[in-house]
Amino acid sequence: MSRKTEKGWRFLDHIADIRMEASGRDLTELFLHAAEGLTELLGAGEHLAAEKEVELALEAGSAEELLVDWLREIHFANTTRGLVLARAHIQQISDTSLKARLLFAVRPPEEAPDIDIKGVTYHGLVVEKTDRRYLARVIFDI
Amino acid sequence: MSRSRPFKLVQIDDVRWEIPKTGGMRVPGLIFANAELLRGVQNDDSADQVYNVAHLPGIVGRSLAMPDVHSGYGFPIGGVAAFDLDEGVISPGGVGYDINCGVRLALTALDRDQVVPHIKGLVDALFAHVPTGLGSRGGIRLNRKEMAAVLTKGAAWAIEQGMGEESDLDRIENHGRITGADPGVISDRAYERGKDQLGTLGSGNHFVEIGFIEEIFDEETARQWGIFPNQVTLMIHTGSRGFGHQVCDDFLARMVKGAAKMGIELPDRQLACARLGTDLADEYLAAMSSAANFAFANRQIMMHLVRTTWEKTMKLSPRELQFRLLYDVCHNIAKFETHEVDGESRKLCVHRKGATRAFPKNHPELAPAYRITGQPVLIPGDMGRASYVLAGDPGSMKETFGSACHGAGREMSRHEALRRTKGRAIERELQDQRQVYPRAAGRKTLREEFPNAYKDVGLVVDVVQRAGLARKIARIRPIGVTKG
Repeated sequence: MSRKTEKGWRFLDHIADIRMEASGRDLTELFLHAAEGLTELLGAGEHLAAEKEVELALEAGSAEELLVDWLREIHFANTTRGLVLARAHIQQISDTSLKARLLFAVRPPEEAPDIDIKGVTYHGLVVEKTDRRYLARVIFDI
Repeated sequence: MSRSRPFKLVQIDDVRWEIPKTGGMRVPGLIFANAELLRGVQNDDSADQVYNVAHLPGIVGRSLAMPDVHSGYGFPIGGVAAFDLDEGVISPGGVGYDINCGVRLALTALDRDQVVPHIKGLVDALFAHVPTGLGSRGGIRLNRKEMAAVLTKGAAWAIEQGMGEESDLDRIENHGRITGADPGVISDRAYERGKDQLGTLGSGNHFVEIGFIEEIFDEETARQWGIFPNQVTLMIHTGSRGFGHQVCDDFLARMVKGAAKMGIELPDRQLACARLGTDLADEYLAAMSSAANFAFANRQIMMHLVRTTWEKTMKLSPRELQFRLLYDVCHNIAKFETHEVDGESRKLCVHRKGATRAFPKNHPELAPAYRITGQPVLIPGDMGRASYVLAGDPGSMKETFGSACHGAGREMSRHEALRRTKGRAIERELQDQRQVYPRAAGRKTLREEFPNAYKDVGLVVDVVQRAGLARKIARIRPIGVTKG
């Protein structure tokens, strides 16, 4: 019940929403992969020229909450200004804080996705460390 | 049970299944379902979510699930829970992202035969003139001061702008305005998301649907409400758009962070909540009420757009069309209501997430026209089969804090719907097999929303009626629909 990719994320079936699973060797890679997965849903932007740069500093109570806050920033830029993430550089990350530079591109209307992602939820939210990797599961409201 | 769970599901009768109080549950759970609908409950997370909600502080009576229940996040969709004002909580997840998502039904003087020959032109015109689709914008753009008036006044704001009649307010739940709204607690982000979405439909399962009265079950009530056989109807399903979503997001984040400090243990973060009476709870209630009023105004504006487009397209005068609102219901909301609990009248905070208020006759909160019948309970089905008009019955006050179902409920995921419809032309199937003319903004919307993606709404309303929560008044068959 999944759409496998060779990337660090994949989408799993959910009755009313979209569930994403992301993985990475460390928190930085995990968060970047999660951002890539969300951006895939919002209309991939890596082929577009970055036009807007945002410095981001987040603090949260846990890695799970930090992941939701991180994804919400990317979603908000998209839903209000039509921006898609072209590149992200995470400068510092821990379980409870993050500093990053986000480069956004303007998505051409003809590249608008079919899915209207309305939010990033806490439901079924998991960030866990296994022996060698970090794994996250997050559900998007559509 | 088809999976291992920390609770039992015990059959009480043909339409009731109880989750007896166990472990950390503060109250039992109660699911309304027949044998067929229960299979869906057993195969998803909704019973687990009813169980989880039963753990929340100050919950009163039972954690309830309506017969259209299916998995949500935190609370199930189709869930109802009431909380004590001293011990209880308010939970944004118990209201839902799309605050005051709801349905309104309008009646016309037209007969089915008068509209069917024009249905394509009419649906095409509605599709062109009512902003629809993914992130749909192009609605009414307001400055902060004007938006504050919308958030405070709700449907009345739209009526002040000439979009509707003063008498419409008697035909809207809470007269189209939830009191206690405070635009001052709304975040800049919520304003930004909502700034040009007033008067827009949105995407997904939101719709504008033209139908006709296919069958009447309660002739007396139908007559009192002005419903007649083959009468053409208009149903609108939409809510508070990105504005409400952002309000929910903002307060979920704050309550997730605050729950631990307040000593509230959550089986799922999406159940994040604040104790009633705290500053955070009061702020959320003020923001939620603002978003609810945005939604009331939105549906009032949408109805005006539909009415004017309809008159123009079919070259009808207002007198010929006689467009009249029957009712407008919320199905994602929390409200302070008075209910009888163990023989005692108590004011409670009732959460309805994917559930409709279903107050019976003589309820003091109803407008006089509905005090003699019970309020209209509007239950949209899928776009190919049927929708229902019900009336609230006394059983709702005894068992469900005055609530009933809100729709058919999804049977399969959107991915599954796309898989099942691969290679199929749903637009053509709807026209040829069901005589429904659809238009949709999204390329995949019709496949994701194809009729069998939903449960049979007839089964759902049958359970509601057998449980005594509401009674069937009429069935509506769709003939044209626009979707996002």
